[in-house]
Amino acid sequence: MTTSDWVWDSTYQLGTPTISYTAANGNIFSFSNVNSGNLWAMREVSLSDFNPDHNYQLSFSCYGSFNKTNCRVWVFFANDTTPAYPGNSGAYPLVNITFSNDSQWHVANLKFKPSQMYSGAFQSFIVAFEFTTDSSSNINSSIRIKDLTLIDQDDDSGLLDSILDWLSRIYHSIVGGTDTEGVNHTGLVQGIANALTVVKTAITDKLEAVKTTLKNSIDNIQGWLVSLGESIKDGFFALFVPEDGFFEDTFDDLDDWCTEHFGVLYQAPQIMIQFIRKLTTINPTHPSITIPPIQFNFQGQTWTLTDQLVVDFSWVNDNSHPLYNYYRVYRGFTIVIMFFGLGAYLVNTYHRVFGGGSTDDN
Amino acid sequence: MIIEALVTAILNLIYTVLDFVEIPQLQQSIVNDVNTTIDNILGWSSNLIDIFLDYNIAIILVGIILIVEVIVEIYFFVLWVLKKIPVVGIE
Repeated sequence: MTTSDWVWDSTYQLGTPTISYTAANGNIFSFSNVNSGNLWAMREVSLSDFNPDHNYQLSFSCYGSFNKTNCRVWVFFANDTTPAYPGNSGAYPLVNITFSNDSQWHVANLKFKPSQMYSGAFQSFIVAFEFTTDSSSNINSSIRIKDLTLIDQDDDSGLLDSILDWLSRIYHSIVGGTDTEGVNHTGLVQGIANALTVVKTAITDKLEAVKTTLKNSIDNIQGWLVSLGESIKDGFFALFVPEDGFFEDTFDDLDDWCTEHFGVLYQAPQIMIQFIRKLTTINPTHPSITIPPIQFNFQGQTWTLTDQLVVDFSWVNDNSHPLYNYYRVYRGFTIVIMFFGLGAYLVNTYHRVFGGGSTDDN
Repeated sequence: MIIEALVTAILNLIYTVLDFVEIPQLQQSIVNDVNTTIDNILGWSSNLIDIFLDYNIAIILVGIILIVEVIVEIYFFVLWVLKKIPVVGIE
């Protein structure tokens, strides 16, 4: 598992040896008893989860512009103030590369276990590249290093993380959401939910359409039944209730027919009806006593025995007449007497109908 | 429709059966004389009565009496009919 990707693509010129390097923690690595003509290129690797018992693999690519360049790679720990560097006892190169042909990249993989090299605590180590050449004529040739990669081969957490990553992806691919890799998934459940929602919407719309159709049908049936009921009712009423104006027209026809066929017999009731109508509508305005004249026709001549005699009682309405007030009193008295008479009649009629009472009630 | 048919049928029956009756009408002059006489009688008599009694009130009271008498007679008639029905039990 790669715990750090360290990309380093640099070119170094031979002939300028670097024999000391200052680590990030301030430790200075000075190399003595080394070939001054060699080139030293150093780079510090810092990781937060170094494990001294893990096996690490350091990979890189080298390129030399000349033949027979030899490259040795060294690893020092930044906390090791007395590193086993070249010139000290115990120092050893991790890998040796000899460039047999120029203008070619050579991939190198070296493996090391920190606990076998240094027993102290550490957070970083220094990778040192020592380049040598057997020919001073190539002193100005260039060396290039790139694709420097450090892999923790015993990183179990990587497997767990991988499993968790996959589980997260699987989980989020099912449930939906953003996984540990930052990928946003719609989710199988969400997809199923969306599909179910679509199906539900379709079913709901269909049911709503069916419901609307049924409602319209029921409304139509209801309206038809109501109209049928109205028709039956109208027909039933029409059976017994005549049309407007039927009786008026019928009685007019009957009246005409009776007038035409019964003649004088039919005129008598009419005269009586007219008499009653006049009796109820007449309004006396001229109090008087009229004695009609006595006259008759005989042989085409009118004979008058007495003229019409009218005795005028208009003084009853004249409030300046001396008898006016007396007449008003009499008038009121007669009205009271009439109402008393009506009351006596009603009481008498009640006893006549329902029985009981006595002559004293009157 | 039924009532119309019944009324029309009855009237047609009456018209058919009594179609032969042809009683002449009174002459219009006689009718006019009768109406004039009635008008004179009513006018003179109402003026005479109004001297002694309030004619308008008297007419109203007489109308009430007539209505009561009609109701009483209708009541007696209905009672007479019901007495003919033993089930009702009115004696």
